[in-house]
Amino acid sequence: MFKNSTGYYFILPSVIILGFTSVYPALYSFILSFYNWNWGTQQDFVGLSNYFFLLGDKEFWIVIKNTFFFALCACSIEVTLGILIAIYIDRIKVGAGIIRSLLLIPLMISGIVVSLMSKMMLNKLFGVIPYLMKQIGFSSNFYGTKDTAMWTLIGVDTWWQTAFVFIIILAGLQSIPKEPIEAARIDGVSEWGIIKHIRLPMIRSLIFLVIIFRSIDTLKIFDLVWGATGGGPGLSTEVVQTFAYRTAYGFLQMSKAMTIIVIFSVVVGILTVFYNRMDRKLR
Amino acid sequence: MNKLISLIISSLFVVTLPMANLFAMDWKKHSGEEITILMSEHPVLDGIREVLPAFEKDTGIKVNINALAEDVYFDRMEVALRSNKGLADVYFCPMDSTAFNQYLAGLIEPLDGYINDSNKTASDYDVKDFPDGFLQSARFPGGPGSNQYCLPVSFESYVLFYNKDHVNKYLGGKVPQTMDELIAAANTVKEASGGDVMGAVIRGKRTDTAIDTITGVVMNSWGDSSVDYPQNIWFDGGWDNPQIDNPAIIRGLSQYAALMSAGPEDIQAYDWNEAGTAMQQNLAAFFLDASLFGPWFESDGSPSQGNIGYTVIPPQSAGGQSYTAHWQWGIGMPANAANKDAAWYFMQYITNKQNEPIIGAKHGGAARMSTWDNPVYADTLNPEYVSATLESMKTTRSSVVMKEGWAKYALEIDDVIQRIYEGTSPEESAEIANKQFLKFNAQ
Repeated sequence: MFKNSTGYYFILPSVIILGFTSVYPALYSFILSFYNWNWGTQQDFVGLSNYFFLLGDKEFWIVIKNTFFFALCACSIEVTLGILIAIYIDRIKVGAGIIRSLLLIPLMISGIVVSLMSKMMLNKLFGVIPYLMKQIGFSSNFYGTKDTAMWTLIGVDTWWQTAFVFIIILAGLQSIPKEPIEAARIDGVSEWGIIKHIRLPMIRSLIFLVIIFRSIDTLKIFDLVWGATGGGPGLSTEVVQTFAYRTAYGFLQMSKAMTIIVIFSVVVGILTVFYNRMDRKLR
Repeated sequence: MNKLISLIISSLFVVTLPMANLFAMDWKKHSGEEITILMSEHPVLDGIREVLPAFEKDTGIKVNINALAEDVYFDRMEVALRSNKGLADVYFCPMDSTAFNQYLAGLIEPLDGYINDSNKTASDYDVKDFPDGFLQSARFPGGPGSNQYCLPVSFESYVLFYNKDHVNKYLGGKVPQTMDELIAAANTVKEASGGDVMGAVIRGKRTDTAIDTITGVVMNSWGDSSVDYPQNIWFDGGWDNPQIDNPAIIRGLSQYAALMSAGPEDIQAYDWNEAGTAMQQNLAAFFLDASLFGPWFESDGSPSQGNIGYTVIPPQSAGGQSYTAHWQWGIGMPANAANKDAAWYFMQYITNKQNEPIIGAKHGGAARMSTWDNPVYADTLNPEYVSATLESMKTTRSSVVMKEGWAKYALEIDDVIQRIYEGTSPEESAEIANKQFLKFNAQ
């Protein structure tokens, strides 16, 4: 009995620390979502009314739609592009290091810097890109209209985060044993066939991992949106995190902000379980 | 008998004079103490920096400045006020519903006790020199028995700026005299320049912080009808009666949307900084916003220096009266401040008659009436700017609404404009807002 429980004593400090830093804030937020707390003296128990209010709020659903649209588009483009670039870089013999280093530069920049940089470069009044486009006869309006702002954000996020996908997939591709590939070549399988039937299936778990990471990251997007558009024009780029932030700090409705995050965390949790099951099923 | 009375009066004077001095305020009382001021990077802070060495010398109080960019300032301010341990002794106070919410949460220190204490306040500190309307914005809960919570440090009214070159080139030098003329003129400039010049710029971004500019435009439509506080113009006599569908309000909001339409295609991405920059770069013909932009347009090196005209918001009819709203930054003391008495010394020092002109010259929105007559202040500003601002002060009313959670309502008012701009009829848009207001009330 004593022998079996020794291991638990060793992990007890970690459990306590993680419990305090992760479980306690999550639980506290969850409890607060049942109150009407204005970040001051008012703290009334309101049961599920924050949940009912949000689920019936049109604005909330627009924000949810925006968030998933952004996540779906950004994640799909980044994963596809990242895999394609990784396959390409894995195959070239000269200059791969230089290209790899260049590709990684955006990843080293913080989100808020990326957002401000893009805001300046794409600004219709002073931005270098609209200026150059005007010189060749194109008019542009990146963050300025409801039709273009979300796609601009997706584009900027793609520029920023594709390297993350690329670097992980490249590491995976480079760890694949050479023998099956050489055997396939001897059997006359085309390069596309090798990619489709050998390379990609062998790194499938890694691809799933990248999809999970990028999905969660894009669903949690905040800095890029906050810095570049602030959720506008109108509500066109408002996402869950900026909506929660505005609810908390702009309107001082702390409990409602917690409720938004609780609902959203449940959605992200379900998505993660779904991805894991998919991965297991495909194995 | 007369001699006796004179003798008694003289004796009383001789006896009480030293006593008065005995109880007079001692500026060195808190020498050696240290205070922290939490500020947004604002021209007011530039002025404070200028008078700070004199304050530290006169009082012996050391001042630490914690300055933040305006977009993060509001959040940090709330965090500082709500922390258990005081992070600041003085803070830059938005004198509107923000301060009211802070008052409701018990986060700010009432100031009447300091102002009325001759041991703490210099005898020449004249509170009545601030217009009563300015003080009322942070006098809570409102009505008799209220207490002052913040003191005004800068005031902005909403005025019209115009680019002289563009007005000369596209409008034959004729400055619009009515709101309808302004909208028509802005559209004329936009069309005649082939879109190269923005007809008008105004805050078009969806945000609750545009409410003061919006209120300025709507007040101009509201005219001389009474404005009842704490509801301001948005409710009719009580919180349960929103009146966004009032014809005067609908007209004002529609005029705001019409000015947006005369602006650039991406006007919905323009906040004050984008709109102000466009004006400062001579890219727009008209700009309707806070008077405080004036000194920036006239600053050395500014492309718009000397090329901007200033006037009140054009009235609804030719020869009519212009109306506007005002908003103020103030200075307040967090309830959790560690050194309250030293903090009060600082607050009265930077808002007194001697220092306000020096600080005011940096932002052009002095809150004391006497400062506008002070050459230290008035001579540093463009005379046209001074004239337009003073003219607007005659009919201005506060944009403040003392309601908890007002930001959400303010955003809904902005949404009315956004909807009108996007094609919804003004009446339908206002009706939606009325319903939303009632929904917010029920929450």
